[in-house]
Amino acid sequence: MAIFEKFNFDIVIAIVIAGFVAFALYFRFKRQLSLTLSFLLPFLLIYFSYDFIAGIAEKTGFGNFIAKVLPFSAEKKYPTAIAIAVLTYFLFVIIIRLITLLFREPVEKQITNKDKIHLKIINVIMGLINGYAAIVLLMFVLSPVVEIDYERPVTAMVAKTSHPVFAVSFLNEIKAKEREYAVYREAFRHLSGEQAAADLSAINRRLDEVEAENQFFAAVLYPELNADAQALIDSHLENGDFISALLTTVEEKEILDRVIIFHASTAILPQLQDFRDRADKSIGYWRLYCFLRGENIDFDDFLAVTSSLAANGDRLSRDFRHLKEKTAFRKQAANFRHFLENYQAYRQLLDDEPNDFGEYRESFSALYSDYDALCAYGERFLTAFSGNGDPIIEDIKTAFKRLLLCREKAKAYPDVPADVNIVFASDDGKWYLKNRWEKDNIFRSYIIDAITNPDSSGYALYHRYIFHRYFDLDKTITANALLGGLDTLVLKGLLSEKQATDYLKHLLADARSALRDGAVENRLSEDFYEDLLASDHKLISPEIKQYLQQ
Amino acid sequence: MAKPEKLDISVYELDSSGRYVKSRENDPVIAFQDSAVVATELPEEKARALRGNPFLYNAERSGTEVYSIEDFLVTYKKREYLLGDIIRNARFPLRVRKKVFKKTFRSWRRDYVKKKKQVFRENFRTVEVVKSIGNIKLPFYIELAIWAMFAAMIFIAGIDSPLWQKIARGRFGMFLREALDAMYASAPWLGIVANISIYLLIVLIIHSLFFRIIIKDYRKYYREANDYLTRSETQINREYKKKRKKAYKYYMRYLKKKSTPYYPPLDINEIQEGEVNIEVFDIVSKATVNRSYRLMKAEPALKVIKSILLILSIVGLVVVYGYSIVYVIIAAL
Repeated sequence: MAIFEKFNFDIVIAIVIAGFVAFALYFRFKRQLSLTLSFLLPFLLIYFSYDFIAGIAEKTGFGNFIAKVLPFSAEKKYPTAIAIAVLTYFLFVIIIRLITLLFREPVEKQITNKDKIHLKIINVIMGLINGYAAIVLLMFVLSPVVEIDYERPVTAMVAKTSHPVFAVSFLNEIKAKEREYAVYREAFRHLSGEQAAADLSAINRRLDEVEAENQFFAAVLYPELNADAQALIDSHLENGDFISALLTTVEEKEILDRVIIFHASTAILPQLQDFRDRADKSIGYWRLYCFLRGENIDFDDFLAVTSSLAANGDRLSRDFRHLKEKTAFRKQAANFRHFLENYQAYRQLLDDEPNDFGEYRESFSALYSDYDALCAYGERFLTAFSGNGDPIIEDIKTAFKRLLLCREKAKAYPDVPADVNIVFASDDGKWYLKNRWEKDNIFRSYIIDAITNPDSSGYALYHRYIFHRYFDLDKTITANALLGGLDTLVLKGLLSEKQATDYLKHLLADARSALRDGAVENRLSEDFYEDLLASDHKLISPEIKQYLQQ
Repeated sequence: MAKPEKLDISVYELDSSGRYVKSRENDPVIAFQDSAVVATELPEEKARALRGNPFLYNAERSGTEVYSIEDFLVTYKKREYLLGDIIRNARFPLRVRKKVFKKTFRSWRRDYVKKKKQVFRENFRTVEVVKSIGNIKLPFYIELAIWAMFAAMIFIAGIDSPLWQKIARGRFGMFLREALDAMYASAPWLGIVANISIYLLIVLIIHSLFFRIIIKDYRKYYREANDYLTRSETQINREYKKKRKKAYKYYMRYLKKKSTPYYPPLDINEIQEGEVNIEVFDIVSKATVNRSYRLMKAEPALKVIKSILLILSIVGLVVVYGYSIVYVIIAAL
């Protein structure tokens, strides 16, 4: 039953192939040929004629009409491109069906001319090809709604056989790369402690808000309270921690509620009630603040906070009222747990054996920009964790295995971050050498939509791909180099000015953009943002200027 | 009625040097055969073929090469002769030759009509009977329901999918996802049921898709075969009548007192079956029946498989969705 526990696309492949082969044996050669031609030939025809058809659709306004009809397309190009491709496909199917009808055998010939064995074999081969095409189509349709495990042997094999001629397979490859990148990125973030640091930083931001509330209460509200209320708070106050005192339960009622009752008809009541509302809204973090202060833990002490949260995460998560916060907190606690469990082992594999978490992160920062050292670390890691089944460690191992397989290709692009580099270099470096997406309208639409919309699934990978592949960047990244790269893209007709401006806007403003990657951030010239602000380049919109001024 | 074409006949005879030369006589003397070729002198296989009906002869299928209608065997006074050996043999009186010829033609006609009727009647009956079978494809609304079930199962089973990641951005979406995640963690068998249901639904979709094509093909084939049979019956009748009349007239013209005995034998091509013939008719109708029979034979099994797949898929869907609804309600309380 283990095979059925997770959705297994290999089983779907087996079902589809068996079905197609069985029916290939049933159909006569000419019928099978007609089915194959009308199923597969349109893909080939679309590959050669799509740009021409898309041009006609644009000129006649049909493209705009489709963009209006599709409610989800908005300003996106990809849904319209796909809709035109689908309509073109069906048009070609009809034309091919009509042509094959012209060559239809009379019924008496169908009966008297029996298929010979070699025709049956050709039928089966055609059935296999049709089955393959159906699988690729199914993969394309199901990938947004099912989590397909691309590590399964047959699925991996099918996913690797993409070719731009069969557009759907190439789109599958584009999407598979996004998922691959997400796995590698997560894996390397966990390994370097970047994930744990980011999680702690997110928690600390919320704790700082609570601290601000503490100070606000001490400075603004507490002096306004009557003597009874102050006495009640004082009796539970330790080290100026008003929050903990207010959230202490006395006779089944929190002190904060008692304080509010004490001031039922006073001028301060609205402020106290607002305070109560803010407490309710973020009660999880307020309780967490109380817990950490109660344990005398310094919020900036990474190991102390993460150890405490890893140990008490489940209990503390119960205080979160909003599911989103609760889930996020549980995930953070799990990340801390994973990191702390493996921290020493990860650290010992480093050449320089750092003393603390800060040094540990610096070591990894250096490691990720030195491919030889990273590969050596990867080899040690694979040996040390050979028998470990932890999902995060498995992902790290996969990332290192891929890196070691393509180390020479990856080393040719030393400035590209390792997680991005593995994705493209493990593909035999095809995406570095041949810019296949440039040549086809459908792929171009997908990539442009991805790089101009941070919400799209492909944003994380493909805006980085454009950044590292198309911009001629030196060791120090200057504003001019960035703008020059964008200019080239516009001149080559790959991006419109608006798209280039959108790309730049998100690159500057989005928290997950390539400019925020440690390795890239360190390479930005000192006056990078000032130069951008001072520039009167046509791609810098007022919106970008406004952002830069902030 | 058009006049029969005048035949330009030349008679050749052996000269003194043993070569064939054109006869200069108006009425050349040709030695009459003293004895006709009888069937016992022919190889049995050839004799059997020649005992047949020239109107049913088919050069492609017959193993025996025949050049003329005169090569066929006829019975006269309990002995078998080649037809040509009787009607051209001056030792037989003209009356006898005529009588034998007419009798043979009547016999061939009876034989042909009997065979034709038998094939046409039997085949049309069976073809009519099989008309209504082949109803294994699913009704449209069931197919629609299968697709809807497939979408529903994919939706509920794939909670780690990009779609669910988008849904979980909202509060309710996140609650649903969390609840379903907890449900699958507490009851792993539900995930197995959901996945198996998805596979079953894929099998069902492929089954219905292909049988839709097969049944569509079958109906088209049946219609074409039926049209062909109706069309070819008329064509066969018309062609047969035409050929028989021509052959009969041809020989009767020369089976007269003053007619020349030196006329070419009527080529078998003028007599034999055309491309559309009883045998092809028989093959087409039998193939139609066989194809229908194969479908009819497979129909119960296919229906059972279809029903089992459908029932199991529905059960899977009901179990997973029922459990999920209860679990989500409990989680919400």
